Amino acid sequence: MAIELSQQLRHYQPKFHGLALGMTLGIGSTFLSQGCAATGACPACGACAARLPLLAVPFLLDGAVMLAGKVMAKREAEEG
Amino acid sequence: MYPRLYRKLLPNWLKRFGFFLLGVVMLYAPFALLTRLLLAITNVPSNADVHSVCLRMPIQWLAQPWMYATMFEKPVYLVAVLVLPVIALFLGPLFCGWLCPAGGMTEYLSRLVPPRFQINMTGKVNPVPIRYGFMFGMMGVAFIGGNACCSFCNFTHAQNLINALFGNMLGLQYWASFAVVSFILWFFVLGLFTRGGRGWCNFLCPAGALMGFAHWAGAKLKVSRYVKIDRSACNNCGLCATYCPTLAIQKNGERSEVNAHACNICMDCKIVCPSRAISYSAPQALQSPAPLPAGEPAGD
Repeated sequence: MAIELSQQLRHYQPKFHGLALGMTLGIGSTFLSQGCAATGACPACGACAARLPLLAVPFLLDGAVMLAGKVMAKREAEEG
Repeated sequence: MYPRLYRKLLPNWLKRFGFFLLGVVMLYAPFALLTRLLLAITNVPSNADVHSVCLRMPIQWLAQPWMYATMFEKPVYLVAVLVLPVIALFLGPLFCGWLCPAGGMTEYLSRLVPPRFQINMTGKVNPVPIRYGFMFGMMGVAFIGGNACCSFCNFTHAQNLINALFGNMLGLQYWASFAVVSFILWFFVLGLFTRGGRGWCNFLCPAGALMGFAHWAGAKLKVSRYVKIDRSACNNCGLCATYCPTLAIQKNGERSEVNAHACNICMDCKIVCPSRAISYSAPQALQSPAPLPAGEPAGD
């Protein structure tokens, strides 16, 4: 079971990386596209600060999947 | 200088170019004929330009239940989340490959740039997870109230360029903001200087992602027409993958496969295939048996 899951995780790892990269771009685009960021006309509405933690979500998800894959691979090696 | 098969593809490109012009006339100001018709039918007072049939915001609104009422009050917004995905479910994302003027603009202009100056991502990147990730990221932000507004939209950039062609420079004011970066990314980096000219569509178009998902679901459920490769006829030369603008065809070991998530039914692959192994057809379950030649008995 653990071996199968480990293989599955390895197979889907590049897709998870892609998904995380896309999510980061998607979230990041909402910061930069408001028209205030690049003009120096930030109205200090607080929206950026409220959304900032969201940027960490894709990294955390991708990291969790990667870590799970590594743990599984280690157990797989230990089991033989 | 240019790949020799460009000449073979020219009739298909001209045919599709006609449809892209139709897309401009249907959706983009100053014409916006379909937009005007939809606005008149739904009795919504609004400017008749591409913003009235926005394909991005309604996708974000899917993650904003408090916006559902707006969508039903102005049914023109259902085009992005209902009409086009339903068409894609049964026929594939024909809108992307045959009508979308924003995608068509960069695709056609990229044909003028010699390929040696272009980024070639064929076989190197799988754009599908990135495009879905972009859509989920945008929707996730929308759930807590943020939006990716018009300055990050290639549809808006294309509308601004068309407006400028007709003497209306007002839209170019967007370029005073971050829009200049997204314009350079869409038009130059992922457009003219990417092989196929569809980099933005492949990686950053949420409407394309939704239609791609619908197309994949239709192919899985065997209700959709889709592009497929006859493995018995395919000689695995890889030409289809080389000429696919959406990176939808990838060589997988001894065979090539069409990824329904990414394919936009442009049919360039079918034309360049030397062994005629590619077809755009209904799934086997829906096909009626081919008629027998005259005089031949049915069965044994």
